[in-house]
Amino acid sequence: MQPQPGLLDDAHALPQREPALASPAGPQAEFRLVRYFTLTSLAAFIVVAVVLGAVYRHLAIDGLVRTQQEANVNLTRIFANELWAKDFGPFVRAMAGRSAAEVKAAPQIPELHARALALMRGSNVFKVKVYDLLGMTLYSTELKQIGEDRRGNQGVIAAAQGRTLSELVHRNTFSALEQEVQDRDLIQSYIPAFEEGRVSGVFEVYSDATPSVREINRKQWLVAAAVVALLAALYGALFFVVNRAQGIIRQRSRARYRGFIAKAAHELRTPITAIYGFAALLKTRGHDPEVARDVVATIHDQAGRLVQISNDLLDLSRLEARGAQAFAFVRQPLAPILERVAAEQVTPGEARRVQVEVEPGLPELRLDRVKIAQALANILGNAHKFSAPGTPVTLRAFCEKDRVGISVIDRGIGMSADEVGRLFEPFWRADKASEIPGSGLGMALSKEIVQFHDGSIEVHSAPGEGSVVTIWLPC
Amino acid sequence: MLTRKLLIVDDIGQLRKLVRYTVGYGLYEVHEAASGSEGLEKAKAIVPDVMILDVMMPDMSGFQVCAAVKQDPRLKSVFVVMLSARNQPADVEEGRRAGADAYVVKPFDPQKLLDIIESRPAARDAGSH
Repeated sequence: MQPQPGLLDDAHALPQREPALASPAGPQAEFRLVRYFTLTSLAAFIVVAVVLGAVYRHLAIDGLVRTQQEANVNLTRIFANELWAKDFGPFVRAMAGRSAAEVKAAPQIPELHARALALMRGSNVFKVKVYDLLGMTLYSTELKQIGEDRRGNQGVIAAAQGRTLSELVHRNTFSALEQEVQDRDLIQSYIPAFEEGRVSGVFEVYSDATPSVREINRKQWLVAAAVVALLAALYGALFFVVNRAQGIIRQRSRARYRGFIAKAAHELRTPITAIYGFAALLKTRGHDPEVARDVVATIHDQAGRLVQISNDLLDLSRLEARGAQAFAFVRQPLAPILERVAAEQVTPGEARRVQVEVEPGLPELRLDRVKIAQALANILGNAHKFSAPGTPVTLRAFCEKDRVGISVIDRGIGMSADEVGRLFEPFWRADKASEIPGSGLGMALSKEIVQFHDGSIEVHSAPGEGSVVTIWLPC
Repeated sequence: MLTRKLLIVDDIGQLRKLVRYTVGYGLYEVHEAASGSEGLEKAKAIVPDVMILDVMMPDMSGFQVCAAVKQDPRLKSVFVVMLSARNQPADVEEGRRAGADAYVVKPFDPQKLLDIIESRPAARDAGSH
């Protein structure tokens, strides 16, 4: 069977289109979740890796300095045990009060030097210096430093007061025991020498930590790389999940959009079919005046319905596009709005009645007067449509804790649980409502409006028992 | 003399009225039903010559009603015209499978609908007698 070609090819037939499949907001507004996620993750990785690497290095160097200081202290202990009592002790005492030149020329130095070198050989110690408590260099493995005055040196001062002080220093060139060395990381320790419980001199010891520091630097990079690798693995897993989620969200929003367009097109098709058909009847046939009047009235009705659908669609799209900006919120009393909405519901010639009951002492609410009135009018309109003519509809406002309820109570035909569940779907109509005028968007619009007021809508209904629709607004 | 019966099944009253005004000038005895199930009941009761069936109805689709009519031995010669807003080949094919005799897409020119009904084989046969 073919569709009737005469109709489809008819020059008067309206074009028939399938809904476009484009994304509702256009490519510019494409969902950018994954991109943001990737960029923030990358930034976070770099920061975390650098911070963790630095923390690792700090801790490792701290440990190294502590360990090396201990080694240096041990060395000075050996020094003290081996050399202090017989050699350095008497020397220090002998040199008390002597000038730098006298110290430099002291005859004990060659022997001291030989003994010191013998003790240090094979260790990682590059240099040992001995000061008296005034900061005069009495001995240095670098002999030319003997006689230098170091009284202002913080390390010497600290050690003269009995404290041990160490730090990591870098030297591009350094005079070690037997040769100049280049590019070295050294642990420099100032260590007090005790004699009978009192500080009698200060050792300064340089030990080589270059291999350990190199190892730490290498490990710092390893730590950073491991952190990056770990985070990358985590990112990969999260990326997979987020990507899937985005795909699902996009698909759903497309499906919803397609569904909405299809429903809108279908909803528009009915009045268009009526207008097109009745107008064609009027054009091509003679009618008795009564039928003609009825046909014209129907065309007028259906055109009105088209206007209503397009108005509601525009309102809805304005809300979607502008969001809260579409609202002019002002703190104001509710009662005048309810009175006006109720008054506007009652049109001459219709048996509509609205009973307004406002609890005294209601607080003022932050409202857009026009929008809330529109939401209430939609709900009141529905209440009337599904009630027997002349049955009163009650509009009741009351306070409950920190919110205000506005209930529209009717004694109409009511709704099943399934119908209540679909009430806010755009273009959904109760089966029995196909004859009742309306765009099918009223309740969806009302819900949007109430949600922009940070409120909610609650519906209680049962078939045959009427409905109570309550708008809850925060105080 | 109104011997030919026509049954309009559509949930929208305005569209039933449109079909009624289109065909109801002494040509047919017009009956109406506002839902698929009511349409099927009425079809069994009056055995119409022609049925105009809207596709999208809340309780039963027009395709389901059409299939039920065509399976009923007493009704299988009823001339069924599907009336639908959907014009895709798949929709037309579904109408064909349900056994419909014609498929008309909304919005439609009333005169064309009348032409389709009037040019059905039974009407031509009746005219030739």
